[in-house]
Amino acid sequence: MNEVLKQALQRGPGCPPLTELLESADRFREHIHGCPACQTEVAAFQRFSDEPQTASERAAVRAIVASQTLPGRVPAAKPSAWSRFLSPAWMGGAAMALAAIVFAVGIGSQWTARHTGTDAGLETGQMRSQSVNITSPHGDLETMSREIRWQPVVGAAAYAVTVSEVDRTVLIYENVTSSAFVLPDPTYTLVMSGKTILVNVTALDAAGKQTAASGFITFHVIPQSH
Amino acid sequence: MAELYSACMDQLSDEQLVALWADEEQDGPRRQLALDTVFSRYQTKVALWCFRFSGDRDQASDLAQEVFLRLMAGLSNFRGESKFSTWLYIVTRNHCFNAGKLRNNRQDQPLEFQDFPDTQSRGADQQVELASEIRQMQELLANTLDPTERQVMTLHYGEELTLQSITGLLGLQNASGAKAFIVSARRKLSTALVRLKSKQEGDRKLAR
Repeated sequence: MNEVLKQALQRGPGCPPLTELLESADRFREHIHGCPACQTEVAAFQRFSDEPQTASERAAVRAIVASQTLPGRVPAAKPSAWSRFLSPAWMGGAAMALAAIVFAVGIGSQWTARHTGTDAGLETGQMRSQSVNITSPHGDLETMSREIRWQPVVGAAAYAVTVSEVDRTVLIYENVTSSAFVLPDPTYTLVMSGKTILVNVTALDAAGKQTAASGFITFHVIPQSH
Repeated sequence: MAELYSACMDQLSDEQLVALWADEEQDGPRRQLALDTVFSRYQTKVALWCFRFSGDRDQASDLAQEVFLRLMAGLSNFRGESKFSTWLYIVTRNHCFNAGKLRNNRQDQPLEFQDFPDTQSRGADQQVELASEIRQMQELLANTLDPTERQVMTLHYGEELTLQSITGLLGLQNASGAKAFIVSARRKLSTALVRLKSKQEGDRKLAR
């Protein structure tokens, strides 16, 4: 491969940094005219930013988006001043002793509950978690019921359900008190049309404060060909 | 309350959402919602780019997932010196191009370009001459090729991408895709190079 040609086709030391080039292409118009590599970078960025998907790409892109899991479960919030105060090393011994007492009381209470047939958690069907776990729907589906379901969250007085398209157009937003939401007719029709749909469920306490969230779950009903 | 809260997220810019995610004083669900909101804005663009690049739904799905993992890994270093969208594009581009080069090394080498003499053995004192030849070649490329040919040549010889990836990325609709543009560009460049050499010969004779 000819060295001169190869280097002429690559970005060199005379080229502006890539971020500056892409964000201020007008400023580097003269350079871009004479540099094939920078021309190509700007054109590729414009295609990434602006070029819409074609009809033949749409189904594949929808399937790819539906298969993705957005990363990044965030760590728990910083401990409060109280918890920092209550957790220095000198409290280790006392804490261990306290934990042992609590453990013993817990075991005793579980034993009592089992033998008297009561359990608060089982009675209410609550799940001890800080995130909302949507159980259905998700992923690629042949068909779906009208219901969006999730596991109940401890302390939740209501749930805010948002159903939207991937471009963030909200199809429906409702507050419900149970752990399921039935899609009304117009939304269900849209969902069944084969679009990729995002669902977000947040748990709210009695004061309306958000206590847990599902994040955005995607699903897609594969259109049936008849 | 929750409606207002969710609507607020949609009103925030990408950079504000990233700042909200990075703020450790915020509660976990709020940070998660900020992150989900900003990533979901670009899911389709990343998927489309990966699909055009690979031409295969499964490969594109893997590439897109890897891109988001890279974005996640690099997000804490994002300082807002560029727009979030630019940074996201560069991460996507770099990941796909690197993956393409690895695949290219395993499968097929770029088409050899034998119309030009090999000029690899140069001493340090000849670097100035090399820089001048590169500028001359860039002028030749700018004046001889049309924009699509220049992009195809750059992506194939400069970035070492496969012809299939280039065809997909540039959305070329002709039957043989990028290969046809390589053939026409090589022909045009060879002719222009012969002309340039004979002009240089003539100039040298005149100077004597």
